Amino acid sequence: MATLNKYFFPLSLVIWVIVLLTAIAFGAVSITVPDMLSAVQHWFQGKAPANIYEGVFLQIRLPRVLLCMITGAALAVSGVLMQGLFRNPIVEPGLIGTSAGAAFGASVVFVMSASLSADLQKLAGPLLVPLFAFGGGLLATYTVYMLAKGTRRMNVTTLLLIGIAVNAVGLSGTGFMSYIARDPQARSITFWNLGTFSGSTWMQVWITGFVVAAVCMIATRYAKQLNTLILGEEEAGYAGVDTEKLKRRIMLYNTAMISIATAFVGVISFMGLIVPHLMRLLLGSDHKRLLPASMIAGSILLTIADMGARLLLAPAEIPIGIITSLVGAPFFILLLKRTHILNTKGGGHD
Amino acid sequence: MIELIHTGFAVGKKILVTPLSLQVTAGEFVVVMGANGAGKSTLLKMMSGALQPTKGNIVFKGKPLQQYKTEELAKQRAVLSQHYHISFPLSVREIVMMGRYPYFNDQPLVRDEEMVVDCMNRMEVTHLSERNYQTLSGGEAQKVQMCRVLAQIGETSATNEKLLLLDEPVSHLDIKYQHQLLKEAKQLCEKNVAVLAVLHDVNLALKYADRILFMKDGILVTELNKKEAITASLLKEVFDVDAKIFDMPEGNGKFVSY
Repeated sequence: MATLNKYFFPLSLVIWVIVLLTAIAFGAVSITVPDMLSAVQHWFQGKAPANIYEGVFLQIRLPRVLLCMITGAALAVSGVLMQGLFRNPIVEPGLIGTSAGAAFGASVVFVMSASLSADLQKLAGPLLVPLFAFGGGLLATYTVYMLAKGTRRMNVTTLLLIGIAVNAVGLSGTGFMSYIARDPQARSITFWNLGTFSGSTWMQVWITGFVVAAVCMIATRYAKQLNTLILGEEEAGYAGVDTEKLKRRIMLYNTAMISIATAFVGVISFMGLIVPHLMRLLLGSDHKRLLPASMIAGSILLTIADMGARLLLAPAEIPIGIITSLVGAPFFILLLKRTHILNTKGGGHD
Repeated sequence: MIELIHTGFAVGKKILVTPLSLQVTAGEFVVVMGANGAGKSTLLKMMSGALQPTKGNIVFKGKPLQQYKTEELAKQRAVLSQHYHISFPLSVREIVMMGRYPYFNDQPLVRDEEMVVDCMNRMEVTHLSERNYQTLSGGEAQKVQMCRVLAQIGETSATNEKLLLLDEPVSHLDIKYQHQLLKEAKQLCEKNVAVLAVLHDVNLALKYADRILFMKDGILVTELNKKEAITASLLKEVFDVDAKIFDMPEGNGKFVSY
């Protein structure tokens, strides 16, 4: 364990760089490392891309891979935060309504934007969609949290069941929006419910990157308090943590991060579940290590999943949410079995 | 050090602790006894600041308890709870280090590291230091939590008195460590700490307590200042058991058989 701790970060950074380069290189158009270098050089000199490879690299591949890495980090960190907050290893934004709520909020903008004035429509993409997604995500997360808290002991079974209910509300809301939508809007909603990185722009990279970086930095400052919360809420209070304040803040920051990521790339399930779990197995639960480790691992794994989405059925593209769900759902069931929630007693951990 | 002034707690119409007054000073070891549901844990939670009394108030070191910030309070009193459920893997050392969290900002200082080692030595769990807490037995886990709480008490002085609250601290421990733990608590009393513990074993209470409080149905029945004054009728009233009381063969103190 100790040696692993020492080598984990250097090793994972090396893997991270390799995955970054591989993800950029492979696609409908292959891009070589010299192409990448000369493209960056041209960009710095303010010149236009010299050929199609440089153009694809700068305008399509690079923003896509970067957005993917940022989103992967966001989902994984969100998993860590939510699990820490609910004191439960099987919570993630897809299971407790955050993503579904955000999806609903965003779909409202998709459908309504047609009836907005031209000026507002320009704003809709980069600003209104994330804003509405944030509203929807916050509302859904808060509802799940309050309902689960209302039951005397917040155990997993209750939490998951309430999550299912709120998810269903979010999904049917999104379904309704796509039902009343006109064709192209409906198509973007459907696509987006399954998650996709196609059409990533630099604008999205900057906005998500800024929010995710800020939230991750703030989150590491709460590492000690999140550790203490593992002991239990009352016990964390005895150890000097204002638990109510901590929960409110973490929930707010986390929802902001997830909603904005969801607004741009859609719903990607199970990443927030798998990554923190793997990192806990490797490094233990000290949030000081767990948070940065999950960040790196999340961005690596989601980028690999996106490569799968692009390359498995090339030139066609699979929505990435399908891949993460295909891998994630069996993993989730395994985890449920391991934590004895599916046993006959049915009580589960709390 | 801590004073309860006509302090009580009720949920709706159900009175869990009937208003009572109590004072505990540094250097004292006070034991609270009573049948299940007598209000012992509620009393302890009020004294810890986790529960706001619904009647009366509590003064801790000359200031109303509710005026303390949580982080400020964490440096002046520590609580060992009855149950801990931990759903994530953490090493024993990491758990004990949490006791020092209120004292450092980002990285533990040398002093904090030393304190953790010292506390683990005192409870004889040093060999468990790298073990995953989740794999410990009930008794081992209880010892580790005691270490964490000892680490949280940390340094004390006449100008920096502290309060230690223990809720059934020996419930999972074997006989040797029941005494070990209570001896540790007793030693803290000599270092400007006030200890209040909930215990179920009358003989342990008679051995270690300076004072025993007996509670029944949320009411403070008796405050036993002289342990020699314990009577069978008191035990009958509080616990509904027929007990016999003997003199210790060494001639100091009493011994109860029930």
